[in-house]
Amino acid sequence: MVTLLIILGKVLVGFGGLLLLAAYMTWMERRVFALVQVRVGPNRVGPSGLLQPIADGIKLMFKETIIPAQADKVIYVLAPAVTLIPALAAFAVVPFGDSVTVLGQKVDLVLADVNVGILYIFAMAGIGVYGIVLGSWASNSKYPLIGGLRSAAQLISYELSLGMSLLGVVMISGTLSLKGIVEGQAGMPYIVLQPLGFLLFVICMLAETNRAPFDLPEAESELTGGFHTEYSSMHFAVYSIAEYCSMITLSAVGATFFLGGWRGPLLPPVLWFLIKVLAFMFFFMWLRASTPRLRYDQLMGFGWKVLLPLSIVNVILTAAAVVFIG
Amino acid sequence: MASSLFFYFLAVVTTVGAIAVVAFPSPLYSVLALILTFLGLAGLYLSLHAQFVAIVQVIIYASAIMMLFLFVVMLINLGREEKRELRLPGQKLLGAIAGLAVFSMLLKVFLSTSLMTGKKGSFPPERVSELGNTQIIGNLLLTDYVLPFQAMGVLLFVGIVGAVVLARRRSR
Repeated sequence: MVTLLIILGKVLVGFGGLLLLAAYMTWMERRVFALVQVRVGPNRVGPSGLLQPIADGIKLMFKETIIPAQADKVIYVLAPAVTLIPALAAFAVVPFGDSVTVLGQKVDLVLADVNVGILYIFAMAGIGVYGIVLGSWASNSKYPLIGGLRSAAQLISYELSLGMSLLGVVMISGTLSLKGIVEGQAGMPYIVLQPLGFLLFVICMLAETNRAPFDLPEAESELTGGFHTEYSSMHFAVYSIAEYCSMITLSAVGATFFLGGWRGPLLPPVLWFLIKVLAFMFFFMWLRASTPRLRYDQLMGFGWKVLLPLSIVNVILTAAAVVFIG
Repeated sequence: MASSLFFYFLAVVTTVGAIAVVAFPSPLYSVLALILTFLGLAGLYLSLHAQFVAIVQVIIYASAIMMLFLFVVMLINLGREEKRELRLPGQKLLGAIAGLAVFSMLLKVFLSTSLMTGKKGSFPPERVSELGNTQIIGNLLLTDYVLPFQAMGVLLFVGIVGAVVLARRRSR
């Protein structure tokens, strides 16, 4: 009974926290954007605009849902959920803190410690893409379709390098479990041993989450909004929450693999984890505010001709180092 | 009890998905049904304690390969399947014979082995959980099965070279 309650509590805290964080990322994004562009940003609703995400949520909920007449209605309605569910599920294997004692039981602050943890995250990311592609197809409109096709091609290209960039860390730590990888970084974070892997990971992470400068699937200047052009109201909100959730999950993966996860001096582990994730998120926003978008052929060429060879080199070098130096 | 319920659920999902692939008139729905089948298969692997195989099934088949299928279906904008003019003479009869042949073969297999108890292999569940799923597969691939593994590598390489050759010739 107690075990069941603890599991339920972990799920509520984990996913509730993730969703809340995702909602507040919209506020942070707009504030950071304003900061870069020397504006004020949303500051009317609540102190420093802190209630803005809630106001936005209520507004979106009461907006009329418009489904295009020519759309494939079943897929059109399902597609946002297909993006959101894997984005939430992927977070389940990320350890967000050290173990704590609740009701006399030792509880690890991770929803599920799966022994193929990182592969599970990739599997969920791969399923999540369908939401974007199907949504774009179901809208039955030209701009979303182009956005969806771009998204499919981009994700196939960058998923490879993303996986390979993490392989170095997996080889050093000898485990696929995220909990095991955090344990392996007791001495020093893996960014010291894997600087190239970290660089590759950050670049691929931007491409995987459709963020600038790789946000071609939704390039508003040419595709008016890309895959979600035809979406409105809560359907649109679900897409945008899913996007922020997957950004947070990938930031958490980055923090876990290269920055030591929840490890850190003085402050409590959960806080350290949050700080690292937020640092990644800030980087995302900073980059979006300051970089122009790539051209599509540049994006593909960069992925296949630069990132993939570099990640293979990184894997070979790491393998050699693990075998010969130990 | 719970695990057999899980099995029946997955078996139904997988089979219904597979039937739906051929039954749907729209190619895009067929692709979606095939994804469902692959996810069901991954679940079945999971219930056999093969976590690594299950996840790889999802990553490679359910996401990467089916994404390519979806990409092609969307790119050439396939509508509903038209009535095909290309029909082999006696196509239905040949199909029925082939189907019956496979069915009788499967029936024979099931009838002859359903009551037999399996032999214990070299990797029973206890040993797998002790050594780790992924580690065992990795070790086996690079020791006992290194030749087939390398052969697959050569096959894929030939495929890539072939694709490059075909793509180049067309652009000239």
